[in-house]
Amino acid sequence: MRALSAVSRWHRWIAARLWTTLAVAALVLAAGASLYWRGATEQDVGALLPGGPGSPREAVRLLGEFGVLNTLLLDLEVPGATPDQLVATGARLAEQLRGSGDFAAVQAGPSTHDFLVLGEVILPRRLYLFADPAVEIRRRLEPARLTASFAELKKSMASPQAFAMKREMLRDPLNLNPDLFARFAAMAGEIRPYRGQLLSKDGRHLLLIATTVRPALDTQFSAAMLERIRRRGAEIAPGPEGAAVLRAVGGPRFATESAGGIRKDVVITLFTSAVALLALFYARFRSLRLLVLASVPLGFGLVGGLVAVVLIQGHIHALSFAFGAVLIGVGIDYPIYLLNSASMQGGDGLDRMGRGLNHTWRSLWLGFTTTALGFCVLLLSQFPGLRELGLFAAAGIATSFATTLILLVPLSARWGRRRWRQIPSWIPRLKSRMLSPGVAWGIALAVLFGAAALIPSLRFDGDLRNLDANRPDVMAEYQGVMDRFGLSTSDSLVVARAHSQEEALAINDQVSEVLTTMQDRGLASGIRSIATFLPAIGTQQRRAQCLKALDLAQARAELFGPIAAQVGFSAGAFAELWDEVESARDGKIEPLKAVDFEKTSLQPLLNKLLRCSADGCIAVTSFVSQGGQAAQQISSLLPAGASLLDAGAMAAQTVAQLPRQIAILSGVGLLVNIVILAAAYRSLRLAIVACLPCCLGLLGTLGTLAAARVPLNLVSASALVLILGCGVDYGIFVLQEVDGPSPSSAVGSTGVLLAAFSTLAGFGTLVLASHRALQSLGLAVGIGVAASAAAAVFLLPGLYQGLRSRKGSANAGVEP
Amino acid sequence: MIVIVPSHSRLCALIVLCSLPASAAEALPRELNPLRESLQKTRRMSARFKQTRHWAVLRDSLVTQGTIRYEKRGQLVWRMDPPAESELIVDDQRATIHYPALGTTQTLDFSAEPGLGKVFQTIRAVMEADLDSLQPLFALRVDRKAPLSLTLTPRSPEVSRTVKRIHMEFDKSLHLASVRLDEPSGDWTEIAFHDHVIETATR
Repeated sequence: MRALSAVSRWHRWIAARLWTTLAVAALVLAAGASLYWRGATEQDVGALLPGGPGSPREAVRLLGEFGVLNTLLLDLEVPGATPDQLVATGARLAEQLRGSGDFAAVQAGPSTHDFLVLGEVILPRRLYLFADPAVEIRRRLEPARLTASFAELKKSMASPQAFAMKREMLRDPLNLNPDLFARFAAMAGEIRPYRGQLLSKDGRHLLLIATTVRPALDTQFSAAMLERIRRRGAEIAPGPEGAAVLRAVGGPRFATESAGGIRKDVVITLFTSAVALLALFYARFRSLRLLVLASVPLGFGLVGGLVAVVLIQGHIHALSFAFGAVLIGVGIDYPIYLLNSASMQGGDGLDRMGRGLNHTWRSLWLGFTTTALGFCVLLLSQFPGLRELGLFAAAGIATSFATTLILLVPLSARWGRRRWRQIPSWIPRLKSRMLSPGVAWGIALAVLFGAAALIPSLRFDGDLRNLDANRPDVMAEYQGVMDRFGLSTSDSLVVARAHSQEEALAINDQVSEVLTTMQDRGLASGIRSIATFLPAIGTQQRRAQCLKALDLAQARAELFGPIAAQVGFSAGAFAELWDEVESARDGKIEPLKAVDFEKTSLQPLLNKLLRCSADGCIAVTSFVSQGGQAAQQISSLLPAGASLLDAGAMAAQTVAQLPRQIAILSGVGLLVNIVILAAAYRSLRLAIVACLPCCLGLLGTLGTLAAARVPLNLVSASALVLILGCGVDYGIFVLQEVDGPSPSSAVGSTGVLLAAFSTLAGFGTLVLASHRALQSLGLAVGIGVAASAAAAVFLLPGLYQGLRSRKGSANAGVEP
Repeated sequence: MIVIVPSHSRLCALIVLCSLPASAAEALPRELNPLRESLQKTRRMSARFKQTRHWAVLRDSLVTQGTIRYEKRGQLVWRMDPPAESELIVDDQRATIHYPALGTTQTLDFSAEPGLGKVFQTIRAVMEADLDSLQPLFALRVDRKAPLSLTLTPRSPEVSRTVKRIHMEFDKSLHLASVRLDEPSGDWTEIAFHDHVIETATR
């Protein structure tokens, strides 16, 4: 007890210099909290996942970039306007948006000039863009098709502009160019490029694709930017048939709606939990000042966790901070146990508080050690997110506990009540109706077997989108815009990875072949691949070699020439085409390279789909997979070096690892707790008894969720650690009471009930939230804490008596 | 459908040739004053045409018929009859080519592609016999006063790489009767106009 004596000396020292201590404490708090505002917060969800090449982190980042996270789709409708009027309005709007400073890029359609520049790059090497140019030419030399092509050509040659375009027309009697451009156009969905803008098929809607300068998750920016867009939309002149409509959908809109919902939830839950905590402290202590004092360790815990993470990692993820803050909310339990115990002691000021601390000293330490170790076990996770959470929560709970031991006693001695309210009489009366050991064990076994029967049917919902707060009407508006322009969200990516760009492109070419085959079978759609316009140099050379299989002289003389002559073309009309084929076959035409696209409209797409870093190069192909089975089939056919990243599969494979990890870590945490308690109590049985409430709480939660057919999700699964931490504490304090000199004092039980109610006030009220993540957290923690507390207060005495009667009196080592 | 992607070198030549300064032009010959006055009075014009292309790549001449319609300071609409059905609409900003059989439309924005814009504006000026627009680019020679016959010769070597000569014939009423475009390769196109419908401005 030397430590307790030392702490008592500190209390006297602090009590003598209370204002100085408070000033120093305030400075420490402010300095720690300033770390949060110094921009050390991370918002990338991918940062919470394991990193490295081919890792879930890279997958989340790539999927995010190909999705709509930071992209705003603007759908402009001017009722009754002609396409030209719509284009003029759209062009003005695009200019205004570009000048607004809100967007890094505002993309409209390709202009005629863009097409011309692209044509200059691609058309001289167009034969390299067909999988087998010889087969392609032979197919087009089929008499009926060739005759039709010539007929089309003659029509074009009759046009007034033909005298300026004659040479280009005669270079393409096989209609290769339109097919190539159609392939490029197919990558953009059903959008119709018109005068440098993108129109819907019916020509009544115009699409602008804007990338915001700030992340969509910067909801303050997103909300302000959306408001500015709304005002711009209102200023657009109406069309002949009604007012112009400007719809803005995509990541920033989702993020803003989501944040708005969360803000509303936070206000509601903060208000209800504050009212509940006020009511709790008033009912028990008749003092609201004690609530303020009990909150001091909580504030220190929050700052302590933040400082620890930022000092070790250099940054903290916003989600870790938010969820960690929720976790260390249990830090208020230690002040509650201490204040509750102090209320039953004699003396005044420091004397009373000192006795209270003395009474709870060992249990506080055991409770803290087991909880902190439970959080520390998270440090063993392979998920950086869980490790960060563990570090934050462990450091936070340690700081909170230290503040309880060091500061709360002198503070409560100075500003606590003069007359403390005793434990209400109904609690000891409640305890006197303790369940008999047989009934207690029966209930415990019933919970165990019931949970064992129910848990197998518990479903895990790994879809992160189901945790969001998207409103159905916003989702419907988004889907409407996507359908109108024939756009598809790229939920699936294939990443071709290699040491060099050329190798990555070669793998990507094979990927493209697989996906094209799958598309023909109806298993994939919306393929966007650079293989369409930039195959690997090796692939292009191989395709050129394919032309050797074509007897050019024979094809020209026997297949092409007669039909050309039949429809009225002279013998040398298409000499340039055959010269081009011959040059390509003989390797005299330079293959396409990435650098050739530098000034073309395809460069942004190329930058997105082909990247090189110190780790190597990746070529990415996006597509829409038609179901999970299709994704599996595609994955099995991919060449070495290529991997499929499917959003659905990601949820199933990566996110689904989290609950498994949490279950394993919870098990390890429980085991560590048992070992520590067994060493402290010098009894394995007592250690198990102390841990029974948390086990029953966990099993009860999982069983209840399974019976109610409520799936477990990422958030509610993570909350199981909290139930474990709280439940062990409840067991320790009730065990101290029932194994102590005055088992009917009800000090421990009252402390447990107060702690449980305070946790329910903080977490249980989250069940009122509209945000599904918060709701599920509130539900899981609510059930778990209520079940653990009930098990500790009502079952544990019976369970303990049952053990004693079988084993005789065991020296638990629990000090009074 | 043919995707029109001319070579850049050719376009550059067109840009250069079409942006020659107006000072290179001379005053219109006095013989052309009646034509100019007639054109100034014309508010709308439409006519049937028969186009005959004599190109070396074609064994026979390529004959198409259709309708031309234009409005002063408005659109020129060049519509070809089936089977080679198409419609070309040229205004100050763009050319729109519509292929009804294919249901497709191509639009060329002159602001984005000034070289192509100049090509289409020249075609428009020839069809409208807009000598004021053509004179900076071509030297005008009156071959015959009545009925009026003109020959336009490119002023610069760049232009002459695309067009060697343009010959325009007018009827007694100073309506454009035929245009012949000669190319340096020896290819030539003749367009004969008939059934003119002229709407003149009332003063």
